Amino acid sequence: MKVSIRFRNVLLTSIAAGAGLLTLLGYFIPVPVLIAVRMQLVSWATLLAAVAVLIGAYSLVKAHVRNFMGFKAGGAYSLIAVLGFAAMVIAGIVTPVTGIPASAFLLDHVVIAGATALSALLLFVLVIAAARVLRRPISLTSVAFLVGLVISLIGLAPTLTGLPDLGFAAAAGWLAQVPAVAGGRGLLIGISLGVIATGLRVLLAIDRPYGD
Amino acid sequence: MTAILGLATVLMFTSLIVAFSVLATRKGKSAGSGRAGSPQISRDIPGLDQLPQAVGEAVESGRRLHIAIGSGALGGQDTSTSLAGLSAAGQIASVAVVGDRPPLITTADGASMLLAYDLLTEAHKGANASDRFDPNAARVVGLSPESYAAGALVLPKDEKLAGTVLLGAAGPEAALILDANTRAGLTTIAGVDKVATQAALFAAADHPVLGEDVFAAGAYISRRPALLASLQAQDWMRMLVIGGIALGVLAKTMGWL
Repeated sequence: MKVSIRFRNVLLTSIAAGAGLLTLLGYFIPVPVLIAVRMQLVSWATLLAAVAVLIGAYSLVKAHVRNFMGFKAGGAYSLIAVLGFAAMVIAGIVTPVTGIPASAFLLDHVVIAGATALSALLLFVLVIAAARVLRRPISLTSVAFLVGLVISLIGLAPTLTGLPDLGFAAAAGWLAQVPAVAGGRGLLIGISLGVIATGLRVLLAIDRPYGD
Repeated sequence: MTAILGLATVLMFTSLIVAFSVLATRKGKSAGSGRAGSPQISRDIPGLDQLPQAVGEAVESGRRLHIAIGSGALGGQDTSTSLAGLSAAGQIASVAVVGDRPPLITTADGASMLLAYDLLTEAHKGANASDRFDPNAARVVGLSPESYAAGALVLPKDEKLAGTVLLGAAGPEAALILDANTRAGLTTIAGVDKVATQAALFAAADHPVLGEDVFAAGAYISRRPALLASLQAQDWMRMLVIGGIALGVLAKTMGWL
């Protein structure tokens, strides 16, 4: 039994690592065979990703149906979510058959409107979160964060006529263009190395997020 | 030219990972333990140091720990970040499954959900707790970043959470999830890859994980020698890049370029 489990692990790991390695080689070495293999593997991956979206949608609807049927707290919201999902599916079927742009209507007037409302709410949440930083123990990073935030907020706010220029606008501009860009680029270099390291860990089978 | 440079970087990175892994194994053998020796961790990640406490609180209180992978999808530009999040989720789940209520892993991607399901199954098997396995513990709560945030911000109430650990790909809307947790008095630990989101999460999370540390989370939590070796290789590559930039600056200043 133990042998068969190990063989399964080796097989799965070899398939995953082999497919990843061939795709990577096809990207770096422009040989027709490798490019063809890469394209084929990527198209299979796209197909699998499409199936995974369906599975994700099924999981989402199942959870909400369970919430509603089980009379759990917030069950009414779950019912709305399920009805919304059904409406989008029906709209997707109706649009190509009848020519009525039901999908675009729902997308523009419900989905985008909802997402915009959530983004607007985010502004207030971030302001409250920034104020909450004051409650934390004082550290260099929290002081730098708050000083940068205050200078940027004052500097970027509309200037009132008649008030003297205290240099906040120039300081905010300098903060955004020099330390923020430098820090951002430093972070991006680190993140890029992290991305490569994660990919290589999976390719070398050091890390197996697909189970043992 | 770019492809050659890219290939050279990948080969150098791979060589460093293999070299550090071999060194760790030899060190362990020469110490006579028969096990691979653990390479040293070059730096502390304060945000992740809070994880054992968060897991302990969840286990003791009989509530669930929410592990959020974020709204990234496998197969897209967030693949690496999602894989790093899944790796960390697997390590956390393997410890948190000893509690009465298994951890809840949420994502906005079907493929990530399937992998999370697999990780949870393995974690339960490893802890001899298959009878407590909840097939709904790996869940898609929304299919877009905004719907993911909307779906996850009701979880503190609906699922009686002990805290939220967000490690993966997410936009600034993730601050909404963390705010919902904070208002419910729960601990939040968060690390993402996007720089703008990191700024938002620095304010919104109790324990932010900054920079590229989200990619080090799996290694940092598990302390597995092979993973730590890859972390060491990453640190060495960073030093090489810094050295290269410094040389470039010097060459440009001196007029050599």
